Amino acid sequence: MTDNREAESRESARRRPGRLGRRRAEELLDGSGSWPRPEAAEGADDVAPLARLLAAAAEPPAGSTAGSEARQEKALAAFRAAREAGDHAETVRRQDDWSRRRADAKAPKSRWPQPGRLLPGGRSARAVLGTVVAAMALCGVAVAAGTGVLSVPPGLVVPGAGAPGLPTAPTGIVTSVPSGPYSHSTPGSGGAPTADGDPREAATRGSEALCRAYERAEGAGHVPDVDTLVRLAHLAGDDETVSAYCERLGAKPSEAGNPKAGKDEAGPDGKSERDQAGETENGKPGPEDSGTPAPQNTTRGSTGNGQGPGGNGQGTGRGQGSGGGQGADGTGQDSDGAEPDEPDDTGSGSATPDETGAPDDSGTDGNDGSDSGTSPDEPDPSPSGTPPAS
Amino acid sequence: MQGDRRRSPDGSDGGIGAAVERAQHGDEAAFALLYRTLHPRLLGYVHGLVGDDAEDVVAEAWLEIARDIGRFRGDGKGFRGWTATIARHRALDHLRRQSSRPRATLLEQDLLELPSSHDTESQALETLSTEEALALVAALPRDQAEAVLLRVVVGLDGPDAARVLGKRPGAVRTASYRGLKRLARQLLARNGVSGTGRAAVTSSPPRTLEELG
Repeated sequence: MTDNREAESRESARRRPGRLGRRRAEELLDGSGSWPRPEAAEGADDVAPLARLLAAAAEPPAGSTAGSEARQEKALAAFRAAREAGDHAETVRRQDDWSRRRADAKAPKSRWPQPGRLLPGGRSARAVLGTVVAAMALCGVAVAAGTGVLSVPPGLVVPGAGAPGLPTAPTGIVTSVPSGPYSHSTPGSGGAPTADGDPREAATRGSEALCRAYERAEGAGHVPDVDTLVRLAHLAGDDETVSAYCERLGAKPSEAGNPKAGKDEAGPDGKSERDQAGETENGKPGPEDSGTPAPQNTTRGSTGNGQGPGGNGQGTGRGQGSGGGQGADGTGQDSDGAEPDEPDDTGSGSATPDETGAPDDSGTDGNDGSDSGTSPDEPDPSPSGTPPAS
Repeated sequence: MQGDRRRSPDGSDGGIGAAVERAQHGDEAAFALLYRTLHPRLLGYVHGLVGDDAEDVVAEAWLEIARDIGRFRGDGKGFRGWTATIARHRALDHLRRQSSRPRATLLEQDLLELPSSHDTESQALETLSTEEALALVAALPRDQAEAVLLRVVVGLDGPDAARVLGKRPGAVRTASYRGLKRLARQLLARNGVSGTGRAAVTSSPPRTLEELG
């Protein structure tokens, strides 16, 4: 029967089984579609035999083998044993939660279980973010080098120091970025983001749009585009909480104005989930409250320093920072080495004030990050509100 | 014939869902029902992964299912996915333990023999047994085989199958689609072969190459 292979290739050369379209395939897989009636089965298309094959495969095998009774008995015994041991009341791990609605609301992570830890897009959020951040950093450098002027899109700019108390300088993760001048200018930004309202609202609006895009894509069975995913991952604080984030957003869009509210929600949720699942492992910066700030800040430092035009609103700056943090994979940045610790410290120090804004900001970042120019959220640089925190 | 293979239209998989709930409250009869309902499906799936050791592997999986059923959250549909995930992990463990086992090649060989041994006495495809059908599917490249088996045999929907596999739904959809196309091609080839043989003795319209082309 070796001919078979040949025959097969001959066949396919002559004629591709093109009649099996995706839709038809989906119906077959689903069992919901119209299965060919016997008469139709003789039709000249290649779907009918395939349908028969699938039907046969789905048919529960007849008869039970000798051992099957014993096996079932063993399973039942295990069931009883577990029942008696009280195991049945055990806590739910992430992989045990298959309840859709609840899963999304409560334990969003469960949707994308373990191994991959992929974004719906199939890319690891960290990897994607790392790339984006690196790209942004490069852009910034190039621009800075070329112009000597900070023509960096506001989104990119991390007004270095942000809070006055914080040491801006060390952040120079991106080595080549001439942090000096910029940072100088930046300090001004130390001012509190009075502008809050604006950028944030803008950010929220942007995130709503993102969520819509995301949901549209999901609904249509497509993979949402990377930009959207990256931004949403930022906003949600975690790639696994994206859908939950969007749901929340949909539920109370107006929340935007209130930075804290937004933040709190995002943060705790993600976190608690994580904790539940005992999954802290991710490098992911948990919700700000925890020690997490470090990564975020660090990154922020890196991105921000060089470029940050003094004037920009802090909010922006931070946002970015967080983005970076997540992407943190980008070892390159760290290695560059301005003392990593320093930035962290800074971060933490300032963390408190930021905390509030953090999620929101990150949202902003996300946006900024992807297409610095375009992002709807771009907070106007002008707002340069001073962060009250400081 | 495929009547029971699917969850009910509303997707709730009602009977199973109720049984799951009862089993979670300690109802052994309900658990036995779940076992009888799902075991053949898990077996079909796992067989595609590990071949003849499937019985043992699935038995292991059931021990775990029995132990952890209290942790499960979800409906009957989710339960299929949950059990499939457990079975898959056990199967992969098994494969790791004996990492050198050749799988597909053997099966494929068997499969290619099928038509000749059958078409004398039967109408080949019309009477494909479940075992033969499963073997055909199992002989696909593994990602395709798994996707098809999870959808068709275990009865998962696309997203659930993707979750079991830890992949994007789109990737799984594509894999299953490719798998079906490949199967269709193989079936065509087989039919082509057996069809020419049958033409002389059968009155049924021969599926000739011309016709197909």
